[in-house]
Amino acid sequence: MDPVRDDIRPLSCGGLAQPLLSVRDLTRHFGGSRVWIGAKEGERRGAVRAVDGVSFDVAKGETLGIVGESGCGKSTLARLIIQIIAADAGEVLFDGKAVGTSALDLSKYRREVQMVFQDSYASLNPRLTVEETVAFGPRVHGLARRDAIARAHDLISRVGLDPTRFGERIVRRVTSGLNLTENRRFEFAVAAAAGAVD
Amino acid sequence: MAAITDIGLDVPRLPAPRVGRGYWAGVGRRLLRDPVAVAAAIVILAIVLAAVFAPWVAPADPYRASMLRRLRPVGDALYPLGSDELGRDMLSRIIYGGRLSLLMGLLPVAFAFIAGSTIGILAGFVGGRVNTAIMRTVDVFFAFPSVLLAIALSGALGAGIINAIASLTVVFTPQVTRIAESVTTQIRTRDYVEAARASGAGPLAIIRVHVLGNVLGPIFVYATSLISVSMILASGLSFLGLGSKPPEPEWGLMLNTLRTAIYVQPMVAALPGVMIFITSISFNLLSDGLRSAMEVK
Repeated sequence: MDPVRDDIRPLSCGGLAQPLLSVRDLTRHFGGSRVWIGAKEGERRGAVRAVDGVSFDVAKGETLGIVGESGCGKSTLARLIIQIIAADAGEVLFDGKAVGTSALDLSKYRREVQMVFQDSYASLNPRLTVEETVAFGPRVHGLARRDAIARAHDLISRVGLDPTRFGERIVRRVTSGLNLTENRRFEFAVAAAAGAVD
Repeated sequence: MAAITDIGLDVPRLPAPRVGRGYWAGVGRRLLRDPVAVAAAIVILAIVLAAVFAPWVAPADPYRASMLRRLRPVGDALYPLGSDELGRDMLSRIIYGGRLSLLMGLLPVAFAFIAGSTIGILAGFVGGRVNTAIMRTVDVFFAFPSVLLAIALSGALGAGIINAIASLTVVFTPQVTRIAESVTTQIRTRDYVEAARASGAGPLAIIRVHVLGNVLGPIFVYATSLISVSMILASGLSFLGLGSKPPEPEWGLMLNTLRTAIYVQPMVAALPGVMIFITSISFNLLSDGLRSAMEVK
């Protein structure tokens, strides 16, 4: 019936046993020259192997922490999972559906999975107002401005900030006055906003 | 004494102060607090208004010559700012001259702003080979000094105001493009552009919301600083006979026709130059004020 569900692989969709996120052999190398003969898929000579065949599952309700020294590829892995950068090889399955295929296109996937960036000052556009920043996600998914702003206010208050106090102020002024936790909450509202469309 | 507790209990929760309504409101507020920028803006406004309403403001016909009253000094009873080599009223000619001079100062910069921003933002945002192709082409224009390029193009196109504006547009577009490209390249790598892509936004939405807002400001400031250069170059073209033609009142051209009178009436001969100087320095000061008003601390 459901075109999305008919299309998926023989894996069972949904259910508690189905991992929420499966990463399979995710690989991304930077730089280097491409090897054409006798090479594995995506192999490059002399490249920085930032992410090299990473596989893991995250079950529903599970929290996964990835720890490593700086430059070991944690951020690259996160960017690969959310597909801001393309993988050389490997795939990401969300609830059993391969991301970026007809089973789950990127725009649907991005309503479900979002990223909170490392540097809260760099990851927010300093010139927008707080409500515009949060409303951006819903706006690009087709919500009218008024509805998107209302949704933004709802999300801002849900993360424990006061939308009437912060909503119309510009980000740079607000973030410099907030502590780290409050900034994180604000960013969380921005990330959650992308999914808050329907 | 009881009043203190009363006050403490009855104070209603005040609405939070509305400090800022968006970014541009803050820029406007800071600009109004800058006395130099406000003064420059008033001077520009006065010159623009005088030029626009020249038929009502000017005391005499700028074209009516009088062989008997040539080269009158500044402060003459009939001619407040003297008369030129054909006995035309200098005050009227300077007021009317603002029309063409401002037009030739503003239009090339406006066209270059539109063209250069579009090309530069495209190059910066797309990046890669498109960027290389566009920017190396733009670099070719930097091989020529801008005065030389303007003269060469005007000369090739032929004299005339429209051709002068066209050639100045060609001179300024690469400069604006280069600024636009460098600012856009900086913005493109910011996390919030990446976050916007992660939220599923298309390139046009990202450019409109995240790139333009951060990029147009610096480009605009740079463009306003070009207005004075454009006015001087345009005057230079007219001086060389490549811009407006006599008897049209235009400051650069007036400077040329009056140059023979420099020993007879130095004050009168210098007047068009003084106007070019005042106008271009006002645009520069306003642009400086705008630049500091736009810095978000």
